[in-house]
Formats: sequence, structure tokens, C-alpha cells
Amino acid sequence: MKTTNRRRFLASTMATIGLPALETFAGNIKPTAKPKTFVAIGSFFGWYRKEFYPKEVGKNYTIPKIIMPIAKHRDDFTIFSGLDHRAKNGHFGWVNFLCGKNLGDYSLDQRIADQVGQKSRFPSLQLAVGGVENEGGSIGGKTSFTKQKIPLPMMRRPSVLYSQLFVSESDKERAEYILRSGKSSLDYVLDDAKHLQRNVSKADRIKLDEYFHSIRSVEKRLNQKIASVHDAIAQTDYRLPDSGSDPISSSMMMEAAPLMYDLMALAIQTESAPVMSLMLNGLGAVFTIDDVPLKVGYHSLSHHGNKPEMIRDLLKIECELMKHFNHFLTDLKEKKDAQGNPLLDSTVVLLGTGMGDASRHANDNLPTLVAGGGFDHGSHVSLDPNEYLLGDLYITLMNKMGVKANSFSNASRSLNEIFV
Amino acid sequence: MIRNIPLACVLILTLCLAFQSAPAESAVPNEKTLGVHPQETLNKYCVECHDAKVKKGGLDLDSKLNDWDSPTNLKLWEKVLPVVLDGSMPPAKKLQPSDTERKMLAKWLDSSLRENTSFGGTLARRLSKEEYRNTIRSLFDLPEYQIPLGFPDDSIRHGFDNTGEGLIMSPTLLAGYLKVANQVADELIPLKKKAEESSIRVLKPDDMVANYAAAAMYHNALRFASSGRQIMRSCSWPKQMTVTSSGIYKLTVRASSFLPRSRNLMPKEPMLLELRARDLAVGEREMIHRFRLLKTISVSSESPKDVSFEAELYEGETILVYWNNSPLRYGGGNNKDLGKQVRKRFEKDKRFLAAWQKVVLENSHDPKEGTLFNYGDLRGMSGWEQFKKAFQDENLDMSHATMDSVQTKKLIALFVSQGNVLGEAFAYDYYEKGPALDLHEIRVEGPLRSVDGPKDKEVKERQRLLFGGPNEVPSKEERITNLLGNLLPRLFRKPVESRTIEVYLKMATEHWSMGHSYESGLHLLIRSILISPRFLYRSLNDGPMDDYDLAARLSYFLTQAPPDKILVDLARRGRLSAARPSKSDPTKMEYWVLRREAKRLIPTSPSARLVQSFTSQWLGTKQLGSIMPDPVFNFTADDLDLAKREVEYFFTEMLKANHPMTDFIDPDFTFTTPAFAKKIYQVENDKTKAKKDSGNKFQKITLARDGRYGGLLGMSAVMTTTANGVDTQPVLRGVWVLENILGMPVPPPPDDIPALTPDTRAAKTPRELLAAHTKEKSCMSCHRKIDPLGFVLEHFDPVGRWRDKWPDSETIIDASATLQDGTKVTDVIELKRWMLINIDLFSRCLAVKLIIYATGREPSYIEVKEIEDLVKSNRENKHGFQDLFVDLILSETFRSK
Repeated sequence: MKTTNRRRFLASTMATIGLPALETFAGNIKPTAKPKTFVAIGSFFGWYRKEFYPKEVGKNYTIPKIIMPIAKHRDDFTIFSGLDHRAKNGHFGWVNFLCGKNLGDYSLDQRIADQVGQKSRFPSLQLAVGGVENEGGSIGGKTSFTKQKIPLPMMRRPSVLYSQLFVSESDKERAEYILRSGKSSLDYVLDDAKHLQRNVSKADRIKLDEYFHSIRSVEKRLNQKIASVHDAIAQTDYRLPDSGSDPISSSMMMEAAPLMYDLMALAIQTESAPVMSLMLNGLGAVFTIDDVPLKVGYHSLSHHGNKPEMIRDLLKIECELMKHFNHFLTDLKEKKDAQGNPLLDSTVVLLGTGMGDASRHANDNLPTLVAGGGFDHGSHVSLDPNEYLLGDLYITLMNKMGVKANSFSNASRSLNEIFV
Repeated sequence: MIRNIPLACVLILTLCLAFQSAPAESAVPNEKTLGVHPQETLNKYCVECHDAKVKKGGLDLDSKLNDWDSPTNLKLWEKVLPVVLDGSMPPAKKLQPSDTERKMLAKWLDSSLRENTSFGGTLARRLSKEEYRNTIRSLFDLPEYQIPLGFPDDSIRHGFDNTGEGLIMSPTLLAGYLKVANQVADELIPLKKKAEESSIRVLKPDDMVANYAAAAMYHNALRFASSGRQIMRSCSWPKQMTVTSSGIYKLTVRASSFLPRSRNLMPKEPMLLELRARDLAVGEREMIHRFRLLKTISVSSESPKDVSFEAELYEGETILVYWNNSPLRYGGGNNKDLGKQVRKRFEKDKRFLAAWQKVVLENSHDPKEGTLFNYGDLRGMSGWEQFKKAFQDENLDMSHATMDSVQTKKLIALFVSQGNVLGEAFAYDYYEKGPALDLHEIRVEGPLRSVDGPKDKEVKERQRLLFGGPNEVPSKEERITNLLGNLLPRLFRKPVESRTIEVYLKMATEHWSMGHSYESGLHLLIRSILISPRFLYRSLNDGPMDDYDLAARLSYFLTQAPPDKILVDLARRGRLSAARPSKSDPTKMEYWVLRREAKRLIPTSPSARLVQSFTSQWLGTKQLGSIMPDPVFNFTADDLDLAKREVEYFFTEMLKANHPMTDFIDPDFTFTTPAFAKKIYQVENDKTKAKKDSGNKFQKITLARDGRYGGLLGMSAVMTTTANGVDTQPVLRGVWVLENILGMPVPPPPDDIPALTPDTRAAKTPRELLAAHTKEKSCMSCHRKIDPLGFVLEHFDPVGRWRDKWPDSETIIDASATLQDGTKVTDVIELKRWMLINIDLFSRCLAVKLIIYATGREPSYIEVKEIEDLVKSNRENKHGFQDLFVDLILSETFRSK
């Protein structure tokens, strides 16, 4: 199995974007300090902390093994150690990544999306690579939760994401007609549905509330779409590899991840989605890296029990994942926005996890990294868990994105004094 | 041999039997009937640890006996009852109640639970993804309909994707449904395309495809030299012309014959050029005769002549050009015709024969007939050039150029076996010297008039079925009211009130009043109906299930699709739930219509949706597609497929032939290919050895009972899905057996697991490794139930093959285990024997899963009791799986909302 495809690499960096509308307004918009996009990348099995955290604090630290692939960007990211959500230990800890202390709470990405995303084509996009489709369990592999604690489905197929971002509706008139007529017919559908709701059992009525809540949201989106139907939709000459099917099986994670990163970078460039999350799953995956098949699956490797040869193979995987991340950061630095600034400056990138030590299922001290967004980077910031929580960092990230918030889950302090 | 059946095991069985035979008490039992109030028993033995303060295991039992209305309370007592029964509580070190005390408490709890739990409770649920797809297919007559890729999957609860709890609605989902609704509406009522204006398209020879040397360019004409059976190698078609509007077109073809040499080679008839229509979706290996013939043109002049004709061409088609009666025929599998033609040519010209001998035979590397042929050099023009060189060579070896020589025989045989390649070279003789057919131009004019293509006709027919024929009723409103009166009950799967019809009628009339067409109104109606909760949800009802809901439940359970006409008719007449006193026991009611319909719809084929959907979720074979076993196991993608099919065929056979439940554990058959059976199960049947090439025939394979293989445990698919393709995981397998075979699910690990750093340096085998991790008491309480079952199965490698030793070691696997009731077993054979003795455990487990799948809810206490009764009587009456299956459908549990 090939892990990096040079042709695809070239294709993505050279992909051009057509953005008629934005270009013409370039001169009239004042550059703002507020970042335009928030991206959260989560690793299911976490990162091997000994090779993630530098030994030294502050700037000028020695680059640890896992950070090597992104070393050239060291002035554009900050590593945080010592932070966690104080969440329960155990397998499900990884879900807490964006939720905080409690599983299934209103997640960071949705909080941001609800505040800043309502006018965009896609307020938020939830993506995932690896893992198994339709994973079971009470949470079912989801990491983003709405205010009502509903888990949001994740896109695993690059082709679907591509078609959402770039296929333009050629017949705008028809599109507008469908939207308008669809919206006005909703009133009738709702009228009949409300009548139905009055005549069903109490338990059914509660179930129907889910429907009503959803349809109100759909109605809002229809209004937005009607308002924006004549806006230019982005075009691109980036093409997905022509293999005919999406790499969605768990062991094809290494093929899928670069594609997702490419598409996210293009989405950022076209300002299609202000909030995105990408879950690097790993259940059921057995990898071949640099043409050497690993003897044991990713999951098993994450339970290394401190055996050196297991750790060595685990690091191979984690470095490979970091290589994809490196390409993403490079992409965001090379691509420029309408004012000529690198996209990375106006994109807050959070790389983290909810699993502190997968080998012991311990969820303290979560390895976290923040890149871009106009923050002052370059350091390893080591914090005292008795003073700060990971949620404090999240409050700072929210504030940076223009979300007025002074608490997140169990945190209420923020890192605004330390990290600007 | 089963040893050491302890007292507890016997106790459980007697207690269970006692409960099942005791009639439900009409009054709540009290201290008078029991002799001592159950609260006293609890206070004496339980409350010390399980009160509000200490709350061991999070359980507070103090004074909770009074409130039987709270569902949380009921769940609590449901959890308490089994541990009272099986003696695991109080813990061995603590004061134990006497047998009578234990029995009384359990009996009291059982009666109270029976009294206070009820039948029914399925939450209203939306159609699952698969049900939605099948509903669209069935109700809209769109048999090929697929939900687009990327539509969110359903969540899994209680092991299945169709439970009420799991089928939630979210904004993203509803937005997805809206999009899908638009697509379905587009499919049913396609946008009327503006009539295309007539235009002329001129196709020159270089606009035509000339691959595989079917034709070649010669002097500005496209020259055909051969014909064949497939369109590749014998046809040409335009490179870039697709009909976009079905209609009548005028075609003008300019062609001529090329006949420079003597007429001996010519067929007696004129050349026949065929024009056919080709649907571009159909591939190039298809046979010519599959394509619709438009016209046959007779070509006899050596100077170009035009022939015009009119023909119908449909959207998505292009034109095929084919020389029907060429003397040279090759291409496709069998090139006997080519053999005949070359023989004729060889007979007439020795030098010709000798030159081909040199070119072809010299390139054959292997003395064996027709094998190892370096044809790369001989294809097309390249082979022809070599032939010409040989032909012109003065020193050409002519010694074998007789018709009876070995070389000639071999040469002709090669032309037959390698005809696809050699024919391409040989054709150049005809290109250069004829006979050949020259195509100079094709002119396509049109569409002169529109016609309905096959797709248009399909759409119209479907519209007629759904919406009624045109002009049957004068006014638009009347037409729509009739239409809605037929359509809405169909799509909503039950009768609708006139109020509902009026709402949709108003929607349509408002739309028309804005100036939109009748069809647009229909389109809007479809889009809206498909996002109404009446369409998206099942069992939305006030009160008990009516016949329509029962029909829907039966149909979606057995076919994953909405009720067919027979069921709908029975529901309409209120006949589906018809009951009469049973002949054998007049106090019991028999739901004979429901029984008849259940038997009618029971799946009988392994490809049936119920079999696929249920088994893949119950046994986890759904994951098989994403597991890629390490190559060291020699388990290919084909093997994965066979493993999955084995499960499906096995399950279907169990159901169809009504095998006893014990055959799930220890049958005398399975289904696979003899090759697979030998490779994975080390099983060889004599009769398969006899016939050669039957090694890959999928069939019923006989197995010996009481062996390693046979039954669900040890089935390759199950073993593969409970491993990860690289190594086995005893905990995973143990949990799987507990959940899916024994019906004793384990709770998830507790929240407060400390971070583990056990000392595993001494651990050599997985057994030792696991033991090191589970020494902690709180871990042991569950792991002593899980791990043993996993270890018994350790002999099966990650794809289900038997192994004697642990991988990478010389240690023989120790598959012994002590089961929960104290029974000691040494391997899977003994485990199976234990399961046969306790077969009710398995039957109950499978029955509960079927009920969850069928009703979309977990059964309540009293419902489980009903299931247990059915399981018991199934065994006592020596009935089979189909009997149990039908009994479950007739149960009160199934018939309650």
C-alpha cells in the first residue's frame, strides 16, 4: 500500500481556485484580526507523549520525534502539556476531545459554528478517516455534539466532501425555484405534522420534538440558501485520484487523510466552512508504512505496554500522520487569501486528543498543539494541571474566533494571559 | 465430560422452572403469603452495603420496594433478580440467606416485576436507511433506486440499527432527507426539456473510432476489412457524438467498395453495411446482435454513393457501423472462422503461406501447441510489416509450404487460438488489397420530430401508475383530490383524514395559482410528502397498534419493505389481527391470519434482506468488509466472501428447514466450497474428491457432530470478525459469546478504572497477560465471566483455522475454562456440549435479538418471560427454529405497540 502519492501532492499544491466575487472586493475590506476558520484535528489513540512533549519549556526546545515532520513550521505552532479535561479514564475518553469533561456535551466546534457560521454555506463540517463505518456503542464514534447533545454524523468519503464544496448548480434559476417552493411548502407540512403531534401518545410526542427541532433548522438553512443562491460558488481544478472509489476502509486511513487535508485547505481558501473537524480514527487499522507491513494493528500498538518494538512501530504511524499534517500546514502557508496573507494566519488549527495514554486508557495530560490563527507561537507551554484545564485553552480559542465566552465545560479561567 | 455441576447451577434451573410454572398472582403478594416481608430480607443481607450512604456499585436498595411505577426502579430490580437467583450476591464472604429466604425474595421480585412491567413500548421511529430505500423502491416503482453515497448512517442501539432509540432525527439528517426527496421527485417527474432544434452533424472518417484495427484510415476513408461478434474489433462509432434528444433523425451514409483484385475472393452478394444504435452505457465487449438495427445498406459501387434513411435514435445513444458479410471474420473468443479463411488463402498461394509460417512460427517460443506466444510484435501493422518483409525475401524457406505439413497445421491452429492478435495483422492484407468497405461520411440531421425514448416511456408509465392517467377527470382540483386520496394512504401506509388531504390540496392549488404547471405541482407534492413525519416515521399512533401498524411491522421485519397489496388489503378489512380459540387449548387465542401471512413472507433465500441485515448485525459479519487479514493467513477477499455466505446460507437453512435450535451449536452440516472447507476447517468429504473441479462449488457440506467445527462457534466469519485480522483477542471473543450466544451482556467498564501499569514482564501467553491485568477485584468481577469464554476459542486463529500452539511460540494453547456456573471445560467441544444442555440460554438470546430487531425495542421483564415460555415449549415439543420464529411473531410482545 502506498502511503504518499507524489502526483496527488503536486496536484493539490498547484490547484487553482476561481473566486470571482471575493477578488473584486479585495480593496474594500479592512483586514481584521479575527481568524476566519477553526479546524480541530483529533487523534483517536492520542500521541505518544514522551516523543511529543519537548524536554525543554519555552522556545528553542529540541524537536521530539513526532514533531520532526512539522519542524519547519515551529514558529507557527505552540505545544501545550499538562492540560486535560479531568474526564473519567477509560476507552471513551477520546470522545471528550471536543466535549470537555462529560461525554456528549456541547462540543467546542459546534459552539464556534453556532456563533460565527450561520451565514456560511456550511456552518460546520465533520470529517473522519479510518475506523469502521457505522461504529456501534452509545456514542458511535462521533465527536461533535450540538447544543441539544445530538451527535453529528461525520463524512468519511472524500468524494462526497468534494461534491459538496465544488459542484456548482448550473441551473441557478431551477435551484432558486426548488428552494423557494420547498420553503413555502414547509408551512403546510408543519401544519399537518402539528396536527399529527396532537393525536399521538406522549412518548411519541417527545420523539416528534426531534423532528420539529430539525425542521426549524432546515427552514433556517433554506432561508440562507435562498439568500445566497446567486453568489458565486467556488470552482477548482483540483481532482481527486481516479481510483473509482473512496478509501474508506480502516486500513486505508493513510490514503484518505491526505485527501481530506487537501479538501479542507481548499474549503478554507474558498471560505466555504468556518468550522471543520477531522477525526483520525484508527480502530481496525493495520498499516504498511514505507512498504513495510506492521505486524500488529494500530489499536494493538497503542497498547504497547512500554515494549520498545511496539513503541517503535507506533511512532512510525504517528510520524506518518504528522507528515500529512505537515503538508496541510505547508498548504495553508502557501495559499494566500484575498489580501495576500497566508491562510494559516487566519485559521486556528487545534491538534489534540481526548486520550492521554492509550496504553493505560488514562485521560490526563492530553497532548495538544495549536497552530496559526495569528497567535504568538514557537513555544512549548507547560502548565500546572492544578491551575489550568484544557477547557481554559478552548475558551481562549473561542475568544480568538470572536465568540464571547468565559467558560467551557469545567473551565472558567481561560489562557488569555498566557497565549495571545 | 462435564464435571462439577455445582449446587448453584441446579438451583438456578429449579428456580427458573418454578417461576415459569407459577401463575401470575392477581393480588400483590405480601408478608402473609411469604412469611416474612421481603424488605426484611433485604435489610438483613443487602442494605449494609447497598444503602444510600455506602452505595456499593452505585446501588441503593434501601426502601425502594414501594415505588413500582418508576421505570428506573423497575430496571433496578430487574438487575437485582438475576444475582439473587444465581447466588453471586451477597458476595461469598458475607452472610448468606437461606435457600428459602433467597427463593422467597426472588419469587416476590419476579411477581412484582411481572405485575408492573407491561407489554409494548416501542418509541416512534423513523424509517432506517435501508427501510427508506426499500419503501421508495416499492411505493414508487423504482426498483433500482439507491440512496446517494454519503447519506448518514443509522446509529446502533442494542446491537441493531433499527431501534427506536437509535433512529433519531437531526437537522443534518432532515436536510439529507430533503435532498433525497428532491432527487426522487426529479426521477418521477423529470424536468421537461426544451425541444431541441434540428441540426446537421457531419461525421468524417477521423471523427470515428478505429481502435483494435476494426477499421483503419486509407485515402481519407475509414476502411473496414473484417467483422466479428463483439463490437470491438468489428465496429466503428463516432468518437464524440451522443444523442441528447430522442427523436427521428435522417442519416445519410456515403460508402463504396474497394475491390482491386480478382473477384475470386468476393462473396457472391453485395457488401452489406449495417447501421445500429448503441446505448453508450453498454460496454464494448457486447455482441453485435444486442444493438438495435437501424438499417442495412447494400454497397456495390466502387465509387462513393449516398444512401439516406430515417431512424429513431434515443437519448444517450450513438451510431454503430458494421460490415455484416466480410470474408474475413475474427475477434471474440472463438476464431474458427478466421481459421477457415486463412486456410482458403493458404491453399491458393504457397509464398503467402510460407511467409506467414516464418513470421508466426519463429515468434512462438514454446514447442507446446499454442502457448507462450510473443504476440506484442505481431499485432496489427507491425505484424504485417514483418510479413511483407518475409514475403519479399528471395530466400524464403518454402519447404513446408504444403497444406498437410506439420508447420501449416500448427500455423492454422495458432490463427484460431491467437486470432485476436493475428487477425489484426492479417486484416492488413484486405486493407491493402481488398475486398474492403470504405466509409466516407455520415451525416446526421435532426431531431426532425421528437419521440419518447424507452426511458421516457418508463417515466410516463410510472406516472400513470402513481398519479392516474391523463384527462380522466375534468377539473384539476378533482383530479388532485382523487390522486391524493389514493396516493397519501399508500405513502403514509395508513388511511388519512380528509383534513390531511385538504392541507396538501391547498399546497398544490396555491402553487398553481402562482402560475406553475400541473407537473410542478405534482413535483412539489412529492418533495413535501417525503419529508412529512407521516412518511418518515413508523408507528406514530395514539393507543394500541392497529392492523395497519401490524402489517407494517410484519412487513418491515420480514422484508425491510412496506406492506404488499395482500397485507394492505387484510389491514383494510381488519382481518390481519383476526383471532379464534385455539383447537388444542380453547382458552388461548390463535392469530391464524397473522400466522399464515408470517409463513408466506418468511425469507427462504440467503440473499433475502432479513437474512443479510439480521445476521450481519447479530453476528457482526457486517465488519467483514473492512477487515483485511494479514497475508500470512492466506485468507483472500474471496474467502471473506465465502465466510459471509456461509453464515447467510446456514441461517436460511436453519429457518427454512426448521432445524432444532441445538443445530445452531452442533449441526451436521454447513455451507461452503470443498476447497474452503479443506483449507480452513480441515474437512474433506469423499464425494467431493471424486469430481474434479467441484472444489469451488458452493454447496452443503456434511460435518460430524460433536467436533471442533460446526455451528456458530468456530464459524470462520465469526472468528474473523472477533479478531482484528492480525491477532486474536480473547476479551473480544468472550464478550461476543456472552452478548450474542448466551444473552448475558456485560456492562461497560466502570468510569473509574485507574490507569493500569501491571507488571507483564513474566507473562508469556495471552492468558497470563490478561490475568496480570485483571487481578484487581473490580476488574475480576466481569472478567471472570468474559475471559474464560475467549480462551476456549483461542484454538481458532484470526480467520477461524484451528491451531494447536500460540503464534510465535512453542507453547500448546490452554483452552480450558471455568464457566460462570462452575462447570469446567477443556475445549470448544466441551463448551458446545454444555451449551446443548443449556440450549435455552442460546434460544432465549436469539429470540430476544429477533424481538429487538422486529419491534425496535428491548423487551420488558414480562415480555422476556413470554419469550422464555416460548423457548421452553419449543424445546419440550421438539419444535424447530421456524416454529419459534413464527411463535415470536404471534406473541403478545410482537403484537403490542
